[in-house]
Parts: sequence; structure tokens; C-alpha cells
Amino acid sequence: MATNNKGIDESQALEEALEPIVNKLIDKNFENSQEKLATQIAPLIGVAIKEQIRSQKDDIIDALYPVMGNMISKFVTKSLEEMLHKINAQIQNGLSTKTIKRKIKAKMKGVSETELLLQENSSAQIQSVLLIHKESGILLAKVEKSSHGLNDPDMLASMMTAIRSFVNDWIANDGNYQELGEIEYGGNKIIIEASGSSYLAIIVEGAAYAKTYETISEVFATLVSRYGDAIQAFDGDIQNIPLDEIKELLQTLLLEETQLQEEKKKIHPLLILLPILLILWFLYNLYTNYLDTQLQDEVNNKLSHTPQLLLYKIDTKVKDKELTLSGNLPYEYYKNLTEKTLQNIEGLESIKNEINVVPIQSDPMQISAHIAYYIKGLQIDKDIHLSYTFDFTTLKIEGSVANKELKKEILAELDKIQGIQKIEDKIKVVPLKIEKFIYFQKNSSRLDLTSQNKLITIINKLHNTKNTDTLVLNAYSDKIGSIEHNRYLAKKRVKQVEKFLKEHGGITNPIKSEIFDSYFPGMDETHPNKSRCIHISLQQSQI
Amino acid sequence: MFSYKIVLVGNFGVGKTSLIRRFVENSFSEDYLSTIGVSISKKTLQNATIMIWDIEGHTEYKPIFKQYLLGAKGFILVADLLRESTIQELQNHLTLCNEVIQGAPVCIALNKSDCPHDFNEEQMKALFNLSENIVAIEKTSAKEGTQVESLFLQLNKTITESLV
Repeated sequence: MATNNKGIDESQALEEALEPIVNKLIDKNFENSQEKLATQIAPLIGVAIKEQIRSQKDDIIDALYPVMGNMISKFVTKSLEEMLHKINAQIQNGLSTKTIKRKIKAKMKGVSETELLLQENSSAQIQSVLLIHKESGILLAKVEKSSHGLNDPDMLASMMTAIRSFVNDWIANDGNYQELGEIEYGGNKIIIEASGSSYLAIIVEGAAYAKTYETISEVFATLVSRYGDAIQAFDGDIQNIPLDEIKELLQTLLLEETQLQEEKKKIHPLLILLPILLILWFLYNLYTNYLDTQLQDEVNNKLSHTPQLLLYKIDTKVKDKELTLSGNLPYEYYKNLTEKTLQNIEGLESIKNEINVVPIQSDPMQISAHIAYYIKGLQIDKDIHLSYTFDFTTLKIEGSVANKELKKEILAELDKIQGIQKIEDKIKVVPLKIEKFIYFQKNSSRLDLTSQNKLITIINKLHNTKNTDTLVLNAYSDKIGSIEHNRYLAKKRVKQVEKFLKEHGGITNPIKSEIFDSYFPGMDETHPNKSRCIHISLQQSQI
Repeated sequence: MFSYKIVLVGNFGVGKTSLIRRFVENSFSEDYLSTIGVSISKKTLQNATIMIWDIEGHTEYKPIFKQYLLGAKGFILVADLLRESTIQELQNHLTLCNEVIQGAPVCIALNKSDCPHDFNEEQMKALFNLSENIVAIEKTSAKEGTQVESLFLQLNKTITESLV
């Protein structure tokens, strides 16, 4: 025992004595050959950590969490920053049509470009839709994309229900009434949309967007409103559920995504069409402008070749193949002439004639001369004597004419003289009177020159006055010789006169003749030359 | 075609999971694995698909989570013939089930009948007095498969007949 105790004492003493030296040596060794030491320990560390994780996992997690958590969050933040940076660079640099389109779309939809870009880079697709009875977790209906068949959907439905029940109960215990909305796994998620007696579990691949949720709740609302009662009454017998109808409705959710994409595409043509339409509109305007200029040239050309209109300024304006005329012209006739001249221009569709007819104030002397000229003309041409006074405004005219028509004609002609403001008409209608004697040589029926002149005067009068009354020819005798002979001569003379009037004068008036055996009233045998005559008069028609 | 949910209720370790495994897969394992939360199995019969909910066993400190019972068409209450307390607990389970689904049919499985026990027929018959909802009481053995399938089928028959 004593030796034993002594041994312990010795070793203790040795330990105490050596400790500072050994420690010093170890420290020195550490300092001098760190690398050597590291290579020696390295294989041990791996094994040690493995063992530690196996036996004391929680300790390791707790120990590492503060460091790892920070590292992970740093890494995630950095990745996100990088992604945003890339996206921003894409937004700033890219001025492709796609970018412009996205910019417009962002403005129109009121969302950020970044979100749209994210949406472009990933697509959400509904893979499966399960309609599940809320309480029992029985799968009522299921639709899925043929390529993504679910492995045992009944189990999924029940498990989902269990998870939902658990989470909802747990949240409810927390004091808030909230529901489990979605479960994410990998790049996918299960969206849960619940109503009173059933809920939809929708398996979505990729990120889901507001529109996806909107569509889901719309479809589900329709489903509940249509088949809610049947679902509520579900007692385990699947046959009582209108499966086909429900599936058809749910099927729209699978189609929805493709339709959404189509809708996006539909915006394309509109955006492209707009500038095209603008260009077309511009070109069309250019073309019509060119056409209008061509027409304008032709209009001006035609007007300059109409001498009557050369003196006047007529404004012409062609727009859209419609010609608008404006300006002032002295006569209605000129206005119509202008329109008529331009009517046949090819390509001109319509003429808007806005020309004003403004009587031109003529020189009073000129008007006076016009009147004098006309009245003198009447006198020479028609043997009508009229007298007049003109005080530069009113024309007073008097005299007589043979009939109303003639008077009307004269007044109408005077009216045409521009500048006469008023005509005071004092023309009387005096019926034509003819009183002429045609004398003959003894025993002769020949018309001498004097007689012929008289007849010509009659003819002219009748013509000038356009008279149609009956001419009365009364033949008288000188009573020299037998009565029969005288009658024979008288008839011959009447015939001569008639013939002259008709053949030389073209008279169409009816002619009435009478043969008298006597002298002309008031004559006797002392004046046989004056009694041997034909008296021509006009039978006055009843007015 | 019917599709419905049943729930197995009982204290922990009475053999709920084992009964289901026997019925669904016709297998048995001696290893005891406590069910956490809920485990769901599916059994397809000729006329029905049954979703069988195997919930966490009842213990003194953890009551049964009522939410899991909702929507069930029937219950199988399981007790351990070797543990008297689990049989005593049946009354509470029956009350709970009737509370959640009034009048739902119940079958009682007195499990582990392969082990020696002293629970006699009279005691078994007396259990019927606990509730009007009880349609069958059987001594079962998940290990040997005794009366397991017949008990499940009996419950199925009761449920499907009530639905027709």
C-alpha cells in the first residue's frame, strides 16, 4: 500500500513538475507545425461531426442555426438581388418590340413590369383539380391533365382534409378564424379554395398569379351555386352527385390557362395594327390630297378657258373630290354657267355652288343708252312709237301698242336691262286699225306700185302686231259699163289683192270679201277713179 | 358505388393500426409504432371505397382530436383485451362519437384475442348496453387475422344498407 501511495505521489510530483514544460512544448509545437497538425486531425473531424450529428442532431442544429440561418438568408437575398438586377437590366436595355409591348401592357394593367417579366419567365399551369367533401375528406370529383395523373387521389383527398382540419383547428385556437390557403412543395403548390361543404384542392405547377386565383374562385363559386345542395346532401353514395356536370365545369380550369395565354397573344395584332392603320391613313390622305390638287388644277384650267367668267374672281376649293365654288357674280346665268362648265370633270364627285349673285351697279348713262337703243329699235323694227323718261332709277314709258302680248314682250325686254330699279308702265293697248283704199285703172285689175306699197304697209302692220283678225275686202264700182262686166272686174280685183297679200305677204288672216254694184259711199259719177276701188279694213275682234 | 369514411377510435397501443394493416394489406408486424396525428388507408370493396382514418391513440394527457371524426359514416372502437382500462374507456369513446356524428353505427373490436385473457362472453354481451349505435362486438386478433375482416365487412354492410 505504502509503495503504491508513494508511486502516486511520485507521479503527481512528476506531473506537476513537467506540466508547465509539456504545455509550453505543446504550445510551441502547435505554433511551429500547425499545418502538420491540421493534416493529422482532419480525418478525425469528419468522423467526429458525423457522430455528433447522429447522436445529437438537435444540438448541432441549434449550434449551427444562427450561422446557417444568416448564411441562407444572405444567399437568398443576394440571389434575389441578382435576379432583380438582371431583370432591371433587361428592362432598361431591351428596346425590342417585346419590351415596348410589355411596357404598354404594364401601363394598361397597372402592374409593374417586373411582375410581368416574372410572369413571362415562368408559367403557371393547373395540373389537377380535386373536389373534396369537406368533413369526410371523400374525393367527389377529379379532373387532371392526362400527362399528370395523380397517384391515389383518394388518399391525397383524405390526407389534405386531415391536414386542413389540423391546421384550421390550430389557427382557430390562436384566436383568429383563418383557413389554410395553400401548401407548397418544390416548384408546385396546392391551392385550397373552400366553401361550406366542400373544397377544391388545385395542384399548380409553377407560380400562380392573381388571375389564377380569380379564375379558381369564379369557377368554384359557379360550382357551389349550381351543385352546392347536391354536395351538401352527399351521404357516401357517389351516384347522387352530378359528376359529369361538375367535371365539365372543373375542366374549364385546366383549359383556363391555355385560354389566358391565347388572350395574351390576342393583344399582338392590335398593337401591330395600330401603327399600320396610322400609316395607311397617312398614305390615304396623301393620295387624296394629290387627287384633289389634280382636280383643282383642272377646275382652274377650265375656268380660265371660259371667257365670260374671266373678268370675275371665283374661288374654287377641292376637298375629298368635292368642289366648293364661292365668290360674287353679276348674273344667275353666270353662276349656272360656272357650274355647268365644271360639271364634266372626271373624278369630281360633287359641286357645292355657293356663288352669290350680286347685281353690278351699272353706269346710269349706260342704262339710259340701253333704253334709248331698245326703244329706237322698236320704232324701226316694229313701227312702235313709245316715249319715255328715265331719272336713273325709274323708267316712265308711255305710248300704245296693238295688243297685250306685245306690251308684255316689251316690258319683259326692258326689265332685262340691268340698273333699272322700277318701271312705270303707261303703255296703252290700242287695237290695230286698217283703213286703206286700193284704186284701179279703168277696166283693169292690175295692182300699180302705189297700191302694192299700200298692201305692203298692211302686211307689215299685220306681221308686226301678230294680228290674226279677219281682213275685210269691199269692192266698189264706177258703174261704167254693164253691171255684169263691173262685177266680173270687181271679183278679179279682189282676187288680185288677196293673191298679193297671201303670196307676197304671207298673210294667214282669214279674208272676207264683198262685191258692191254701187259707188263707194259718198262718191258719185263725178269721181269715177276714186269710186273704182277696194276698201281694206280689219274686222275688230271682240276683246 | 359508395365512397365513405370510417374512423378507428381507441386508446394508444390497442392495435388500431394493426387491425387496419390486417384488413387492408393482410399483414402484421410485431413492432410497435405509435401513430402520430392521423394515418389514412384506403380499402376498395366490391360496392364501396372505404377511407379508413387511423387516428392517434387516446392517452390520459392527449384527448382525441374531434375534427378527425367529422364526416365519418361509422366507427370502429378498439380496446385491448389485456388492458381493462381500455375497455372501461369505450364508454367515453362512444359518447364522443355520438356527439360528433349522431347515430353513426359503431363496431367494437376487442383486440389481441390471440393472447390469453379472462374476458368472458357475458361481459362482452353487457357491452351492447353501452349504446344503441353498436352493431357488432367481436374479439379480434390482428396478429392472426381472427374476425378482423368480418368486423369491417359488417360495418360496411350496415353503412351501405343505410344509404340505399
